[in-house]
Parts: sequence; structure tokens; C-alpha cells
Amino acid sequence: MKLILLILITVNIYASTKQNMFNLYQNKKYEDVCKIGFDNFRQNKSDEEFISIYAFACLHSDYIDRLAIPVAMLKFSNEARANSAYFSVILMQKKLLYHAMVDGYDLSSMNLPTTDYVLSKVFDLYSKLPKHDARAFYLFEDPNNMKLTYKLYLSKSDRLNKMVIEEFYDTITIKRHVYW
Amino acid sequence: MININELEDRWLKYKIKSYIPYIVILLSIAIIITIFTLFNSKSVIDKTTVAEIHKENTPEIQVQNVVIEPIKDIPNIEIKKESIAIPNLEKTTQRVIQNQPIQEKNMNYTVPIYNPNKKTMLAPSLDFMSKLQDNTLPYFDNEREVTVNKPNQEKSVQKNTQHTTAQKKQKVQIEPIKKQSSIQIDRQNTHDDINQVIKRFKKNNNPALSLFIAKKYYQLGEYHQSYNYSLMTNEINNDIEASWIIFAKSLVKLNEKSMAVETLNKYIAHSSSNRAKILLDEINSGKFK
Repeated sequence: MKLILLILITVNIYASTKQNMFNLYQNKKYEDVCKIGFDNFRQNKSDEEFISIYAFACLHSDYIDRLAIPVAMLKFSNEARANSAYFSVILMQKKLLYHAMVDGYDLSSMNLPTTDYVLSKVFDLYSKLPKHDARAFYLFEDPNNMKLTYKLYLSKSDRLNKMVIEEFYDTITIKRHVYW
Repeated sequence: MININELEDRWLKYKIKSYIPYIVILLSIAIIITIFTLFNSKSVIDKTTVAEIHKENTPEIQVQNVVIEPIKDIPNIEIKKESIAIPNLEKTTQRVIQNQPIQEKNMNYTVPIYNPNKKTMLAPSLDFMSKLQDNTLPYFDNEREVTVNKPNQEKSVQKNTQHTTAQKKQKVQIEPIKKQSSIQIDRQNTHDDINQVIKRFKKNNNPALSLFIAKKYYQLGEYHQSYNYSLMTNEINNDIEASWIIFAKSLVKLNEKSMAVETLNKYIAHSSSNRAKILLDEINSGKFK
């Protein structure tokens, strides 16, 4: 009897993880969802819904590097492939922009697809700049909303330089994204 | 004296009781096995379909090779083949060289035009979220109760907005109902989804659900309903920024701009929300109508 109870409880926990993640996602607790997804990924690696929620939560909480595995795993449904392509573009743009910011890699010749995510917007604006010397920071105006501006700069430290994107609306900081 | 019949009955009952745990164990194992086999069979079907698709796709590649074959007929090939010195790359270079005269000859070939300024936009697909929502909680049996405006809701409208008169409210109620009839035809599925979420909201009173409903109604252009549900959300939890934003936006759409501004001002004073400030700015400047 104890064994059966144990089995039933584990099955129940297995099913409720995804639901719990979904509820947290709806309440915009993206970082928590990303962490739960990361801890339970192995048990749910064949569930594309689980992987998708995990990936979107990690995207919204700026854990972009964690998108690498979902990009590889999402392939069996039309929706999963669309999301995989979406994540892969963001991941690539993050890596390229970081490379450009730290090492001065030239992005002006690139014409990549874009997304609605802030990193893609900044990538597009940065890649439009002609070849230039490194600057302390870059200020970009959103082409669709004049009041919206993005500040891109490197936060330097001894160990690792971090790329920071700050979103401003009329000088008010809306959000700060840190990538490395 | 010992009553043997009674003792035998008791023994039989005892024996039956002793077997019950084993029967329960067997039954539960059988149920678990059937569930697992059902899931596995589904995944096997998926894998076979994928394999079939692979099989179906492979002949297409062969067809492409066949298309290239007529290239051999062109006399230019042999001359160019000789001019290439590297033997390992012979096959690949041959194809590249062969393709050039074909493109020149067959002008019907559609070549994609490279436009450096035009970017392809990738959008995420979030349909799986609605599927997940369907699986969350058991539903009520009675439908379409929350969609009807209750007098309680009207009272709460008075509490929060303070300056509304009864006449104004009646106007507000009538307008979106007219809009509903035109939208329902196109978006019946969305309405079904909303009804299901409404049932769940009724069950657990979760502000995240009422906010979701408010947002959906706002997207559908049913501003009165979005107003109602954002109001309910605010009553349950008055610290949800998105709910106040939808509430104010709905008010603007219902031609209650002054009320929206007033509400936003109060909320900004309470929370100093940046999004609320942005929206207030947009309403005042006439950017948001």
C-alpha cells in the first residue's frame, strides 16, 4: 500500500509541476518559472508545452543562455518549431551583440531576422551603425515610439564584462536587462 | 459452547478483508500500466509519422538530381570541367559551373531579391498556453453566469470611480453590447475560451484569471466587460498594475476619459507606477484614444 501511495504521489507531483509553472507564469513570476523548469527539465524533456513555458519564462527573466536547449528540443509541432526559430534568433543576436560590444566585432554587414523582443530591437539599431570605435554607451531611439529610448553599455569588471540594456520612457527607467 | 457457524463466518470475513490490500494493489498497478501504455502509443504514433514524413521527403531530393541531369547536354560543360584542376572538388564545382549557363538560358527562374533594409519578423506562438489553461481546474456545470452584469458589480463601480451617475452607467452598459454582436461571429472560439476561464475564475476567485479575462475582452473590443473584470481584479487585489492599466484603457474606450485620468492619478499616487504614468501621459496628449 505504501508503495502505491508513493507511486501515486510521484505521478501527481510530475503532473502538477507544469501546472504550477503555468500559474506562476500567469502571475508574471518568470524567474521562478525558469528556475522550476531548469530543476525539472530532465523529467519533462519530451513535453513541448513544458519546454515552451520554461523557455518563455527564461526569456522574460533575461536568462537567454538557457534558451539553447529548448531551441534544440522544440521540433515536433509547428508551434514548437516557430518558437524554436524565435528563440534561436534572440540567442544569436545576444551572442553577436555581446561579441561586438566586448571585442568590437563589426555587425554593420548583417541582415538577420528580427523579433519584438528588446534585445532584437537594440541589435537592429546597433547593426545599422557604420563601423566605429567603441563608445562608452549608445543611446538609441525607438523608431516606432519617439519617447522610448534604449541605452546600451558595458558594465566592466575584473572577471567578466556584462552588457546592459536600459529601457527609458521620457527619462524614466522602465526596465534594465543585463546579459553576459 | 463455541458456536462453530459464527466462527466460520467471522473467519471468512477476516479472510476476505486480508485479500483487499492485494486487490487494490493489483488494480492500481493495472490502471498505471494502461495509462503509461496509452501515452507511449501516442508517442510511437508521433515518431512513425515523423519517420513517414522523412520517407516522403527523400524522393524530392532525387527529383532535384534528375532536374540537374539535362545539364550534361550543354556543350560548355566539358570545357569548363577541364579547366578545374582540383580533383576532389570536381563534382561540386561541376554543378556550380553547370548551373550558371542554365540560369542565363532559363530566364523563368525566380531569383529572390535581396533587400538589406527589409527584415523578416519572427513572432512567438503562444497557442499552447490556451491548451494548458483548459487543463488547469475542473469547471462549473452552469455556464454564462458571470458574463451577465450583476447589480453588485454596479455598486463596486460606484465605489471605485466615485463620480459616476446612474445614467452614465446605463449608457456605458448599452454601447459595448452593440459591438458584441458584430464581433461574436468571427471569434466564437475565443468566446468559448473566455467562458471556460470565467468558470474557473468563479471557482477559485484568482485575480490572474479575472485579469486574463479583462485583457481578452479588451482585445475583442468588448470594453464594458473588460472594465467589469478589471474592476473585479482590483477588488480582489488592488496592487496589480496591469489590471489598473486595462481598467483605465477600457474607461477611455467607453468615452470616460476624465474618469480614467482620475483613476490613474489616484493609482500613481498610491503606487508610483511607471506604466500608469506612461498611459496617463498618452491619454492626456491624445495619443491613446
